[in-house]
Amino acid sequence: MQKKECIAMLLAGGQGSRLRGLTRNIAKPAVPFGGQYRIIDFSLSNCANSGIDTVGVLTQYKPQLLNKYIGMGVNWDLHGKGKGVTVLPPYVGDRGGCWYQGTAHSVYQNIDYIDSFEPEHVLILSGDHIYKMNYEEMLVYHRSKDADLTISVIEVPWEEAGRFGIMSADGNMRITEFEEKPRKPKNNLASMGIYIFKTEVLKTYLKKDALDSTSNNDFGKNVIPRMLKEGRSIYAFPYQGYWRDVGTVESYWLASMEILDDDARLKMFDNDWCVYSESTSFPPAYFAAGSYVKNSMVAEGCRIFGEIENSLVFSGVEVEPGARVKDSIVMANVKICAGVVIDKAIIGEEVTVGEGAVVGGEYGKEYAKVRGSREHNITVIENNSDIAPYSHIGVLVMVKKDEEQLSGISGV
Amino acid sequence: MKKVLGLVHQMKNERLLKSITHHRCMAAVPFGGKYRLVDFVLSNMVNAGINNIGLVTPAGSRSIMDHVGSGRGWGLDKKHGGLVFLPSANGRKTGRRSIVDLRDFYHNLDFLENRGEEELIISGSNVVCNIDYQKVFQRHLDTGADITVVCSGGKNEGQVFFDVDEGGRIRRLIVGENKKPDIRSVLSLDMYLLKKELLVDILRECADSNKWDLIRDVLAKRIEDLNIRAFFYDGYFALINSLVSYYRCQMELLSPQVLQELFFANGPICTKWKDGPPSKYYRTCRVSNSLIANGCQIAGVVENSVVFRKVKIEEGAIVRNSIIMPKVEVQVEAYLDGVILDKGVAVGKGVRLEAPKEQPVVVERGATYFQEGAFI
Repeated sequence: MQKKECIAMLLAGGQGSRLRGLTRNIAKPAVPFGGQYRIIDFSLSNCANSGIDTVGVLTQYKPQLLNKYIGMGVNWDLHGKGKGVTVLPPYVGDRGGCWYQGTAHSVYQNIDYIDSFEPEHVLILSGDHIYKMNYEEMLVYHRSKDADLTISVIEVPWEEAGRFGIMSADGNMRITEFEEKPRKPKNNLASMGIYIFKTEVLKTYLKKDALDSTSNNDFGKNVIPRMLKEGRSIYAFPYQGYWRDVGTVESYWLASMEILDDDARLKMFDNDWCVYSESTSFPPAYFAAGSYVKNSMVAEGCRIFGEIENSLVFSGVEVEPGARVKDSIVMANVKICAGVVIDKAIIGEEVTVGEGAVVGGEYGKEYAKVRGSREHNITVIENNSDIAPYSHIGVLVMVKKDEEQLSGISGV
Repeated sequence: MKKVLGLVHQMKNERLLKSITHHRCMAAVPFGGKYRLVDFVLSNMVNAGINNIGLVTPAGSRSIMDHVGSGRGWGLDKKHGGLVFLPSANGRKTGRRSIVDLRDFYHNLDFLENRGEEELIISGSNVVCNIDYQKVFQRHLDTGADITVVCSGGKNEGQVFFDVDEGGRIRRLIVGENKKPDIRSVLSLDMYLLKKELLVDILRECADSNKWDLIRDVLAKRIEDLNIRAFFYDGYFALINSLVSYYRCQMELLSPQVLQELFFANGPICTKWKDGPPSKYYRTCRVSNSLIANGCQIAGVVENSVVFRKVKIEEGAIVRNSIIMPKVEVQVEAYLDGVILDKGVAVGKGVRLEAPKEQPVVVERGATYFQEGAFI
């Protein structure tokens, strides 16, 4: 096989429990985003656009939909002879097998896959961020520094720094300190979870890590601190573009709303750096006479008779006359019946919202007051739910299809 | 329907839709906001489980080859079979134009003979409908017809009509010019089911007589000796054979019932895979009774119109009763009514393009209008 300069390993096994009902049945990278995409589309499109043509995707948590979606990588034009996307789940060998114990362990388990391409460098990505980035520029930087490891970093607001891996660097951008989710951050340079390793160095440290029974087998917590301690050259690659972690319901909702800004920093209409996704077989969106749409994105296959404002509407959604959708995200194939009001909510795929129901809005706010949490004023309706007519819902709801009564929990 | 081979024939009339067909064959004509006419016949065949399709491709048809490609959009990119381009016979353009030109199939006789399928469905590429071919095929087998032709009593705009007896057998064939000859006559939807063996025989006879029209030279002449039967299709359809029908049929898609019947009731209508975000509707937009594909940026007014991918309509612009093909840009305060803008047309600030009612005007691909003033 042809030797590769750089291949990518995409970590897509995470559960993403802070996305509440959105990840009940699917892995976080498979969560729909942006009216058309799944979160993983952004990383895979970046690979395709950066000329990284070989990607191993490590899956573990509820991987069925993700595995099916990724397939051979045809959606991102990554398929072909001697390249392509390979889904890499945990496996059993002649000496048994085990689940992936951590990010580093999952890559360790697939060293054979990496070796089969003999790459000089390995790009490690996570499949749960929204951004457009040219990995080739980072690779050039990595080579110019002759680094053992290059970490892409971004400045984050100080108050949020505790959520990230935070590092300090010298004037040459060589990293001097790395702390994973520090309680008292000394800096606000956050790791974006994007690493380029020299392959040999990566293998050495993955093996060391695997032999260390006290390790959590995590890149941020274990592998990188060990490399730093042993004096390896680790450089920060400063990134100035748009980058969002959408790991919580609130950050997911905010990132979605940011797309709708007229001067949005994430350029969705940029033909030079297109985000690819699965093609649907829907006709164009239909807007009836008397419908109303403002500051929204509406995908193909929608049939809109009602009103849509400040919202992202995925494909195949029906909005009946008199229904109103505001400040919300409505995923694919949702049916919103006549007279429904949806306000500041995330509606999962294949949901039916019965006539006259009210989702979110005042009810969401009431609930937030009781819980004293900002996050909970976004109402999440899980995939495949049926919302009974005239019910009032302002909380996370799990409703199995065909379950009857829901009106009882109004305004909880 | 693994036993059935699909064949798509092409009308060769580059003047039919004025400048729209100057550089495209009919099959590649854009339709319905994101499709090309050929998408309907290919999707209908694939939805019925027909995975081997021969598509007649006239010379100089880059647009159709680019659109269909390997057939991936329809799942026709197979190791065995799938979609095959059948190069058209380069017939001289003298004399009468054939309605279904069998020369194209004779030119590819070896392809037909080498295929394992015994049954054929031949279809034109200018019919817009969502038909269940399995039903048609079952009826074809049940009646034991030599040839089954799909017909409809619904509309009466077309070229070929049949008189059908009570038993469903076709007794008379009328080739007219866009008018229904008789109240009882039915319109041909240009779809034919027959055994491959029969087609091969017919092709050999055509070669002997050098007469090549399936309609005038074969069906009309053998109406007594062959058992030719009609299958009545009662769903929505549109035959695209003039600029007026091209425009009107797309306006018909703006009815929710037609939309439901054509795209949601049966199998999906597939097309070439394209990428692009959902369309963005700005605060200043007003959209009413319109179809809008992905990738558009709409800040102006859109009424009773069909808008293809990647169209930009700026603030204050008004688009009415129009068909706007991909990558068109309509700048501030421009006014469009009753026009068909081909791909990549640019309409400058304040420009007015208006056509008389029901007489759509086509603006050629890539044209630009930047001077203020009226048009037509």
